[in-house]
Amino acid sequence: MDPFFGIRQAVRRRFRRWAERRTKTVSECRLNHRRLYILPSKAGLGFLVLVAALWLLGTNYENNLVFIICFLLLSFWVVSIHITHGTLSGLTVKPVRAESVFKGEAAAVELCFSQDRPRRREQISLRFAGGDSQVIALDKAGDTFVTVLAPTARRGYLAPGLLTIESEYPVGLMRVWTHIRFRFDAAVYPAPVRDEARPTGRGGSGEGHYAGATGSEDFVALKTFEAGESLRHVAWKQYAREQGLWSKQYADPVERRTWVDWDDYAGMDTEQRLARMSWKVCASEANGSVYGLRLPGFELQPAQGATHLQTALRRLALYGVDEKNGAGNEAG
Amino acid sequence: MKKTGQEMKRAEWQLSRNGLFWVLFAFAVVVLLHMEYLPPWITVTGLVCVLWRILEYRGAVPFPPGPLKALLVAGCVAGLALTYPSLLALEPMLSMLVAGFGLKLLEMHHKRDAVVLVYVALFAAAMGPVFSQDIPGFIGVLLVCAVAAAALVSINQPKARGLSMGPAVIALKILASAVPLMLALFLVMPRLGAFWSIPVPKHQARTGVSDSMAPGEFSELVGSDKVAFRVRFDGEVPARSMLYWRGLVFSDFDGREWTQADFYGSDHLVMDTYDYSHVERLGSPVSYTVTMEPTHRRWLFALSTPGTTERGVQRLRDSRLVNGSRISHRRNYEFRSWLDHRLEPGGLHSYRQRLETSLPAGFNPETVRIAREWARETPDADTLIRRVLELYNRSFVYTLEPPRLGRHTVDEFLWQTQRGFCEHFASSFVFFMRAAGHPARVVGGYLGGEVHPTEEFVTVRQYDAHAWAEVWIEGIGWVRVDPTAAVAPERIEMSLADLFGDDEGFLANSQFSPLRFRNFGLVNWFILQRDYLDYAWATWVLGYERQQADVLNRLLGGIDAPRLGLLFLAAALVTLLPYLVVRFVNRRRDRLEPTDQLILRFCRKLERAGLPRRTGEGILDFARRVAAERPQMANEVLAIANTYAMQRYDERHPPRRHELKMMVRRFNPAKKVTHS
Repeated sequence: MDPFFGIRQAVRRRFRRWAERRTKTVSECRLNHRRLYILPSKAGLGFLVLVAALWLLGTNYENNLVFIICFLLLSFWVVSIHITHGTLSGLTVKPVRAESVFKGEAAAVELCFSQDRPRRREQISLRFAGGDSQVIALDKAGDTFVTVLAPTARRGYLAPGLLTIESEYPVGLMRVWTHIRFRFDAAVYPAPVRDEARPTGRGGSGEGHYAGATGSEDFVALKTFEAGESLRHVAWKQYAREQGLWSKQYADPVERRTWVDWDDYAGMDTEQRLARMSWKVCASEANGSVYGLRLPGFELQPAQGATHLQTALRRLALYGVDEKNGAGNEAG
Repeated sequence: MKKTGQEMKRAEWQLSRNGLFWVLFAFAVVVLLHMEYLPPWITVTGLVCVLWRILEYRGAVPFPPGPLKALLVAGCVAGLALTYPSLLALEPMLSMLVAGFGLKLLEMHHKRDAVVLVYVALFAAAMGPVFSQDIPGFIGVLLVCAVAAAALVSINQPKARGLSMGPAVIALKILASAVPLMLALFLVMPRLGAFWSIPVPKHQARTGVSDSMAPGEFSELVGSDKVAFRVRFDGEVPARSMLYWRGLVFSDFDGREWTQADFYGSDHLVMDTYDYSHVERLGSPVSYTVTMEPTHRRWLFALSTPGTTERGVQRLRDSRLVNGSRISHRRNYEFRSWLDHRLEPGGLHSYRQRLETSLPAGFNPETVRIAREWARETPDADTLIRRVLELYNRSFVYTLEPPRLGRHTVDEFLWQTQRGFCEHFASSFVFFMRAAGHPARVVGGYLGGEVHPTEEFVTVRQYDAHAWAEVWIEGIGWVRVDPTAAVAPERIEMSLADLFGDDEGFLANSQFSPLRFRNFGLVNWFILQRDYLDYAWATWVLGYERQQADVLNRLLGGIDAPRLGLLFLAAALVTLLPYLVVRFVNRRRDRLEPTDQLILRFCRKLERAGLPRRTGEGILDFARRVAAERPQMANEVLAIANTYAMQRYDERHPPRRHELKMMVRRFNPAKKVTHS
């Protein structure tokens, strides 16, 4: 259909590679002539065709008034380079925070756009590679916070590929854009894979085992309830007597601990193992179990609660990932 | 999730309400701009399409179904084919653009479609100057372009915005900043000349002196105050009585109508560029530039006897100039004329002698009889001419409303009615001379014109049209004889407007022409200014390519790449000027308070000495820390910090900025360190 498709693709690939080399991972980025690319959009190229047609008309009819219109439109096109560039120029983009997500989910990344002076900037489209675009407008001076969804394709640190910020505002003849790469401390957890029938390894137990085995519970003492502890352990009687909120402590907790153990998943590659462990961690938390995590060279003592869950998942996410330059997880 | 993504995509390509409004507006103004060149049914179709699209948008009317659309397209194609014999001309092209645009409106939803339509609107608007090049028309074209530019902006506006003039403001801003660059391009870009032959607009009626002359035709021209051409002399304007603008030479008479004759044989009509063998040129020539209004005829008007090196202009043996093609747009011609000359003094070719004395058989027997009688009595041509002119002078009347004449026009005019306009006098005089055996011919053109009081140019209007005679005299050649002058000598010295200003027939076609009210000083001043503006427009804009080299040389002192580059640089600077000014003003506003500037300078000095101020550290805390770390400069540092703090935060404190400035300037941490 399009004879130039191959060439266009090649040019696009080359440009992308070149742009990636130029694009350093940054923590804050001021958009200026060094960072912004600008080229005519499709409509802009069409506009040039119009100008050429008018030039032919003027030349053939030797009509200077047609030339005036032709040159006026050409100058309009040239000035629109400056104007469109100004839509992004002078903006500062900062990453604010990102939430950790499971692989495959879109991570909500919060960015902060700031400008020194009030200035209307419209139709700015933000898009992480592979993600949907989002259109924003800026007006006032100062900070504007925007949440963009970044697709994730690999576990590890959240490093959502290139963020493309682009605009054709106001005339649509030019497209100004930039690529920025941000690093976030947020992690991308392994996507959980359901795996019920796992033989329990050393001292490990399937979930539900603990919850059902009430007879083996051996109540020892009460301690102050801390946020994050399971409600199952709340000493309701004491609470009902208005003696405060206590949680019950049991003896021999080892027996009732669930271990999510690397060694249980022998015979699979790393990612498969981590995916199943991720599921088990989530399932244990959902059940209210007390669970620990064993990875080669690392052991997380059993506990429960949101913080514990996050710690465990983060460990799984970052397993084998180099602290410094974590494997990128950009999509596509 | 997926759905919202799709909705977002939809919002990206869907045309907003404001965008739709502006595109419709742009289309409507294009149709109105070109209404006089479009067949009425196209105009109506276009406006109906606009209305339909509006109703469609409001949900009152559904989108036209497929078959109906096909029917509409077929109808338009058939209509165009019926309206125009050939589609390869300018009007059919314009009509096609407008019809296509209108039909496309009905199914326009995408931004992309809207953008294409805006481009079509721009092109259609830019065709305007091909049809008409006057100033008001061009202002109209520019306004339409501005509306189209606003439409382009509106398409790219956020969808949520309602109807607004916002896009127009943005478009005008961009257009305004585009003007300097446009001017530079206009000045510099070379004009290459037509690449291929082009269809010429056909809607205009031919105007001006026609290629034949029958009684009553010239008095019709007097009804019009339209400009025929303008002339700028490279020096003083010659006397009014010399301004006989020759255009056509009529040698064939059929009893009623004078027409141009064709020459042939060795007397071929078109002269070679440098062949002036048939003319004796005496004295020095006058140079002038004629700016012709489009007449859609080929005749050019010049003083006798002209020479020219204009491309595409032919010089004919009877000393007139003819353009290679019909004059379809305003154009300048540079001519030189030798007012003092002898044309064909050496004698006429025998067939030419026959041609210039031939009379139609069976017409005007009375005149033929009397002419032969007079010729016997006065064989000398000069004396005979004087005798005929005396006849005119004795009892003839020069009038705009001559009585109608029957079959023997000359007989009736000369011996019965004796009331006529210039063509009656010229026709009867030439007939008489021919009957007397002297070669004679009628010349058509314009006489005089209005000399602008301050600028050296002459405006010739249609009512200046005139016909006179030329008689060939042995040894002298063709001599101009204006029989009208014998009747109304004031016609030569005054313009027709002065002569017939109160007459009914004068300006009969333009009842409200301001020329009717010239007696009021202000009106007269206004007319002169308008004439000058028109003249400048024709010279400096419409005919700019003739001035281009001159203008660039005068503007830049030469034409070479660096100079042209500088011109564009200057244009770019003018374009950017508003932005630079805004930036400069803002920078000044952003500048720090002077005391703060001083303290920052102090901090920079310390930083260079290896003592950076921590983020969020107050200036006094910082000074105390520095004092602790480097006791040798403790006094100085603490003094500066305290002075600053008092200056900045204690309002009761008298300003001691200068003191602080001196302290900071003297402060040199590096020196202190080395000394210790």
